[in-house]
Amino acid sequence: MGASTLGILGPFEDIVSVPLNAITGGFTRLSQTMSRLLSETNDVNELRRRNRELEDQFIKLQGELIQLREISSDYERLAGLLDYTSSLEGREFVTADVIGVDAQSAVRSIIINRGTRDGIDVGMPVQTDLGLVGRIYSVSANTSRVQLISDQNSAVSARLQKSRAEGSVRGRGLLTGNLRMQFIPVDAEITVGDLVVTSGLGGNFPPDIVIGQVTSRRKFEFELWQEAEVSSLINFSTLEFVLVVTSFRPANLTIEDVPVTP
Amino acid sequence: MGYYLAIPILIIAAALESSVLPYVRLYSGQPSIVLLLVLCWGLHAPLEEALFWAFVGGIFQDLLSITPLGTSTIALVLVLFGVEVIRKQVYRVSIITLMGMILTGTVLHEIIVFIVLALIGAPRDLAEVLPYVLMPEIFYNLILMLPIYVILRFIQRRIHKPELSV
Repeated sequence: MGASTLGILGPFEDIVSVPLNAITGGFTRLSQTMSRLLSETNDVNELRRRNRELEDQFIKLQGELIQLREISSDYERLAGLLDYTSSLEGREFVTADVIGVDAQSAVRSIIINRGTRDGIDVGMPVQTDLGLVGRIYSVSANTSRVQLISDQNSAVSARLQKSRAEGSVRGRGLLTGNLRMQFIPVDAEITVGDLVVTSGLGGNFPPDIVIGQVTSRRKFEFELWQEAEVSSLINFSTLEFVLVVTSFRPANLTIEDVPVTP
Repeated sequence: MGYYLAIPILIIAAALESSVLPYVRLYSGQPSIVLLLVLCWGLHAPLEEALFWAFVGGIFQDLLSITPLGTSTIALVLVLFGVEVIRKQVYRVSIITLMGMILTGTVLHEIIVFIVLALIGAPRDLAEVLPYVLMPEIFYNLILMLPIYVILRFIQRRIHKPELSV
């Protein structure tokens, strides 16, 4: 176990994991196909009802989109004046398929079919169009293991979008992807439904990636902090593909001892 | 022959644990097919062969997990030793004995993995592991133990010559 932690067994792990990951990937594709077939036989009425709801939502969102385009255009003019570079520009992604889930039930991680050969490195953030998934925990030549944000040992520096209050989002390790945002200042305003995004503090994740939505708040009278329950927009149990942000390198905040010459 | 069977059987079991079985998770727990195979095989196989199964099964499980290589191996080997102690006390394996061994093995396995994860600095919350991981796992393992035991016993009878006691 010590040798594995130090990375000495890396070549052995790479060789043995090739057939194992191939078999796992095959089983995963088969299960995803079966799952899709079963879910496609839903009630037609339910689909019609959902279609009507979506059409109403679409009309409402179109109105909002027009307003947002106006705001965006104002922003670009002002940003141009201030010579400000958006953090979203220049981000490079590698698409990866999810080929397996952690074999240990108490650990929340997934296995993807991209590795060092595709430019993946430890610490790179992983996301989808719905938000943050996690980060690369370990990588071999052809596969990588991603620690999900719902894992109990995951902690992400985050910010509430409306109040800009900062905190730390920790996973609760449950299947549903529920998270908890801790260490929110006691005087911060927490609104149910508010979006929680990465703050970029600590340098582990780029800023402004959606983590989830606030579902409830917890505030105790004599505590220094308040907490919020956050629900991820992603259904971690049905993840099929993810995006690895290859242009982002986590910051190394290790303080190195520099010899002082007398 | 039992040594050769370990690799294909356990590689498929580990792959199933990582790919198909998460779809049947109850809360966060799922069946531990590798644990069931190791325990059921170890009940009637020589200790060295059973340890080989535990070692190989643990390696395959750890390769599909972010836990360091050796975590599951340690847990499976220790559980196997525990089951070996119980096995020597019973004359024959009945369904009650089998249930007891699977129950004990599952609990021991999760406790050992929990301790190992805590020692390497990746602790889990016991208050969440017990109800959401361990209880569903016990439920599934008790359901699957009989068919897995019957199949493995059938295979073992084909490949192992019965011991003659004088």
